[in-house]
Parts: sequence; C-alpha cells; structure tokens
Amino acid sequence: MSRASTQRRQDSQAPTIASVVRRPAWVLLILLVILAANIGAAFLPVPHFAKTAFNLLMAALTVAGIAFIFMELDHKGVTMRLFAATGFIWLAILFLLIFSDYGARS
Amino acid sequence: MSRATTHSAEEAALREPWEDIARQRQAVEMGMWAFLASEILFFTGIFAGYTIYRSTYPEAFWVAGGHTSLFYGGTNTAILLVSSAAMGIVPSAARWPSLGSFARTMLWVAALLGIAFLVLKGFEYAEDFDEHLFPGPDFEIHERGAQLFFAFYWCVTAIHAIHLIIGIGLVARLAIAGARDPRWFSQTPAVQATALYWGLVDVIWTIVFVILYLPGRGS
Repeated sequence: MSRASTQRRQDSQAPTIASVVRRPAWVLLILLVILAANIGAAFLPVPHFAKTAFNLLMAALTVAGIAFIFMELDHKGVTMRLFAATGFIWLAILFLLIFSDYGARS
Repeated sequence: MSRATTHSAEEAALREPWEDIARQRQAVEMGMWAFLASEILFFTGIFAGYTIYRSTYPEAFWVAGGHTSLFYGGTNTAILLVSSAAMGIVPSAARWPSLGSFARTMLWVAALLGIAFLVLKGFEYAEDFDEHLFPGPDFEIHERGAQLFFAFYWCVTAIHAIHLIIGIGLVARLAIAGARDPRWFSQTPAVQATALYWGLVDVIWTIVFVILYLPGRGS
C-alpha cells in the first residue's frame, strides 16, 4: 500500500468536527443552565445560609463538569484522578481544621 | 497519518529525558496536575481567610456582596465557561492532522474570550472606582467589615486576572507554534498541559463568582 493511500485511510478514521464538539457543547449548555439557576437562586427570599449552601453546591457541580469533561478527567486512570484530587483533599483538610476551631469557639 | 509520519511527529515532540512520547505525555500531565494542586492550595489560603472573616462579619459581607456587579460577574462567568468548552475540544482534536487547524481555531477562540473577559473586568474595575469601592478613606460602605470584603475582592480578582493573562499567553504561543509545525502540534503534551491550566483558571473563577458576586442579592 502506498504512503498516500495509507494517509487517506488513516484520515478517514479521524473523527468529524461534529463528533468532537458534541459532548463539550452539551456539557457547556448544562453548565450555563446551572449558572442561570445559581444567579436566580441568589434572589430567592430564603435564609442566607440556604442560598449560600445552594450556590456552593452548584459551584461544585460546575467544577466537576469542568474537571471531568473539559479537563478530560473522565478518560484518566485512578493515579491521575488521585493527583487531580490532591489539591481538593488538602483544601478539605484545611477547611475542616478551620471550622473545627471556629465552630468550637463560644 | 502513516506510521512513518506518526514517528517523525513523535520525534518532533519528544524531549529529554523521556524515551517515548507516551511516557512524556503521562509525566507532563501528572506534573501539571501537581502544579495545579499547588495553585489550588495558593487560592485556598485566600478562600480560608475569606471564610473566617465572613463568619466574623456576616452582615457586612452580605451587604458588600450586593455592591459587586452581577452583570459583569455573570457575563464573565459565562464567557469563561464557553472558553473552557472551546479549550476542552482542543486535546481530542489536535491529535488528528485533519482537525489540526480546527484545534488551533479553538485555541484562538479561547484566547479571544479570555481577552473579552479582561476587557469586561476593566470596565467593571472602572465602575467600582467610580462607586468608591476601593478600601480606603473614601470607601462607600460604612458597615464594619465591608472593607475587608472588598480587600478580598480586589486581591482575588486581580490574582485571577494575572493567571488569565498568563493563560492567554500560553494559548497564543501554542496556536502560533502549532501553525508553524503541525507535526509537533499533533503529538506535543503541551496541548494537554495548556488545556489543564486553562481549566484551572475557570475552576477558580467559578468559586470566586459564588463567594464575591452572589451574596447580598434579593431580600
């Protein structure tokens, strides 16, 4: 088989633009809806604590969407995911220590 | 791409001390995630400070949050999400030579959206200065603790903007280098590393938006 025909065969295996774009586009749409819901929820007549908790939950969902789809963590193995989680694990430890202190103050 | 072409593309992207491109790609990605973890820790210190002061001055932080511009904050959040989606397409498209120019177009889309973010941020800062929202003797809000909120606001948004400027530089550099050498572009782990950095910039902004722009709305 000539080099040119091999090239054509390999190029024909390449995904189309539509197939590459489809999933990120759907996730983007969902994240924009989450953003709109988050902004809308900020105006609801509910206690501040409930609003903040909801806003942070929506932010966590957005971060998960960005990390797993746009940063492709969903394709990665356990080791890479552990590396990716490291920063968030330290963040959780720091906040746990802060709240165990401030929460215990009279 | 033929085997010979693939091989020469891998050679163009391979750097010492790695012996093959797969190992280099894995190492770069892992190193990048370790770097991003250190970045998260850096911002975590600021977020921890914010949390402590918000629990100390809950009403002042709520009132001050209502003075940030939800229009600029929300629009910029949407802009960064779209740019992240564009950037998320790049690694999977770049490895196919037939999609190389499309991947580079997506890089430019992300960079231009990043610039749009900075332009809007500039307008927002100008508005904030006009409304005397910079901590100091002329500060607009007299509630005790409100200046602390805006001290966090200016620090966090400025540090984030610096990260974004670096990201725009990295993305533009990748797009230019990729156009000069498409073989290198199809194999280099720099594509993945740049996309990861851009993702982090968006992750940080997602949290910044929630803690600085959403408090103080409604009744």
